[in-house]
Amino acid sequence: MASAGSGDEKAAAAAMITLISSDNEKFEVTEATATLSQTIRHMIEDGCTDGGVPLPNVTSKILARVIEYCKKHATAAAGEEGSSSSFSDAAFLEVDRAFLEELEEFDDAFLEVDRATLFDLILAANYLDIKGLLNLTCQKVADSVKGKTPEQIREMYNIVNDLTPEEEAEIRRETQWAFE
Amino acid sequence: MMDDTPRCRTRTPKSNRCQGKPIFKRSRPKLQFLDLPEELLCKILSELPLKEVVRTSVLSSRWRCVQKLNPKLRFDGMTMCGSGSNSVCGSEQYTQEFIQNVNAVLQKHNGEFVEDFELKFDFNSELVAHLDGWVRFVVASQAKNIALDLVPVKFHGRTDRYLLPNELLDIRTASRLQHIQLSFVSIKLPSQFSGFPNLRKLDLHMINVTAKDIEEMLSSCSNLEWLSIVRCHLDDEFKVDLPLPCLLYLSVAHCRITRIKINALKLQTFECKGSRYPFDLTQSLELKYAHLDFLDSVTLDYALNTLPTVLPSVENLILQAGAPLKAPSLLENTCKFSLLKHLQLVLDVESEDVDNILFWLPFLWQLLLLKSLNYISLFSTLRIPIGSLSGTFHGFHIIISRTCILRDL
Repeated sequence: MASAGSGDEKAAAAAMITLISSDNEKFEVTEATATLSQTIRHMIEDGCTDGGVPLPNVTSKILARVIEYCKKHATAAAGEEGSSSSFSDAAFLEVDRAFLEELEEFDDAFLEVDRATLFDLILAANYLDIKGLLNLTCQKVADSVKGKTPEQIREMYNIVNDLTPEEEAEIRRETQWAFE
Repeated sequence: MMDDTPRCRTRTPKSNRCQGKPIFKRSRPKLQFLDLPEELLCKILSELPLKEVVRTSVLSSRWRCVQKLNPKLRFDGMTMCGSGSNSVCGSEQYTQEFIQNVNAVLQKHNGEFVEDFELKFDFNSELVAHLDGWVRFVVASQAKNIALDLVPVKFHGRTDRYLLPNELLDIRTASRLQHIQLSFVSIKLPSQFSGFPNLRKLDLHMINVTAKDIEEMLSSCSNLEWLSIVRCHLDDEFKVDLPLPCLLYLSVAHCRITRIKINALKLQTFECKGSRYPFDLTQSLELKYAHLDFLDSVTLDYALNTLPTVLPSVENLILQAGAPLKAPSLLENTCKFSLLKHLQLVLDVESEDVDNILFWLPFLWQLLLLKSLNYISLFSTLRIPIGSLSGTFHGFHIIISRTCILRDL
């Protein structure tokens, strides 16, 4: 492999990666944290992370949040590997459960952001290809719509209703079952 | 709202707190819902029940178009009918209402980006022509996953089934499918069937199919990882001679079959419920977990000598069965499981055998010491003869582990 040499050097430098946001802020993260992003993982594999990884689509504010998520979940992933195949012991199960609960609490708190930030996080998760974060944020948006009336959704997301009353009545007639 | 008012605008991007929620000030325009790319809108929509997705069509003219992109179409009779006063579940009007609503959604859908097509409705003959049409939609939309759950509430004694159209089995469609779930369907393979080379998950429930067709079908599923077969009466062997190299999970439940023989090298989990069929999974050397729940009775000899020969690598075994017990001879019964770590026995015992089960204890204790077992759990319920004392639950649960013995009666 061509990148084997540079890979060794990186390992020697405690495998740190520098991420550069669109507004030129630099973030130092461990490789384990960074590789939660498939996009960055591929860059590392291709050996093109020397001098930092520019992320022109992500602002420093959003990148800081994304890194916060990745740090937490990278330790979670490491923890899971460590405790594999030990389900025999009830004590281990207990630890796993507590850990998962903590992770869930983290995720809930993480999602306490305004809607525009949530959309920014979705775009960043998509661009960086972080499956867990993308699922989490999309689910959050879907949940916010669930069980709401069209009026409530319009208000929540500043959607301007440009349908004529006739058009709206027609749609409601055609899809009557969905409004019952 | 509040953060849009000009008064709130400050130059420093410090966040204020208002009612416990941070308000962010930003210079560029705020991202709106519909600013997200289509693929992400699709992803969000796919997390919603169909009813909610359809409802978004009245939000605005753009939303009217966006909801047609919904990649997961899940039609469920329970949530789609019953608006009319005469529309009772099972009635003709109920079926008509369902058909009408499904057709309305499909007509509006642009037919692209469909990933999942799921339909759940009690099967009746009126539905056949429409089901054929819906399957054509699945074929045309290039869906990857299909689920047809047509089990009626009262399925006992019903022999009719929905015959799966050949369109779904032709080479282009069959090679695209990744997940198939079918219930109350009849499958007859066409003579030129080319297989499901990309199928990963197959869930068959109350399917009319011959042993020959199911073997041919499975022989073509070289990427199959997950297979469940429930209440499919082959009245024959359930066997697949060709290897299923990717199969990790196999579940067989309540099928009238004579034997199970599958060649699955990587199988990890085997679950079996119902009558005690002979099975042969000797080639599955990675099979670590087995859950056997038999209606029939088993002997200790079967549990500790026969099972190890057919499940040689199992580490975690749950065996639920009736047990007409005889006190085992400690010398003769040597456990042949070499890798077993956890053994859970859930035995249904006749009340007159209750004393016998206690004879198992020294034997199980010995087993624990001699083998690599971490624990054995013995859970037993007593079968009380009808007419005698009833209303009380008799049973006991014994856990023997390497470190402690717990016993409660």
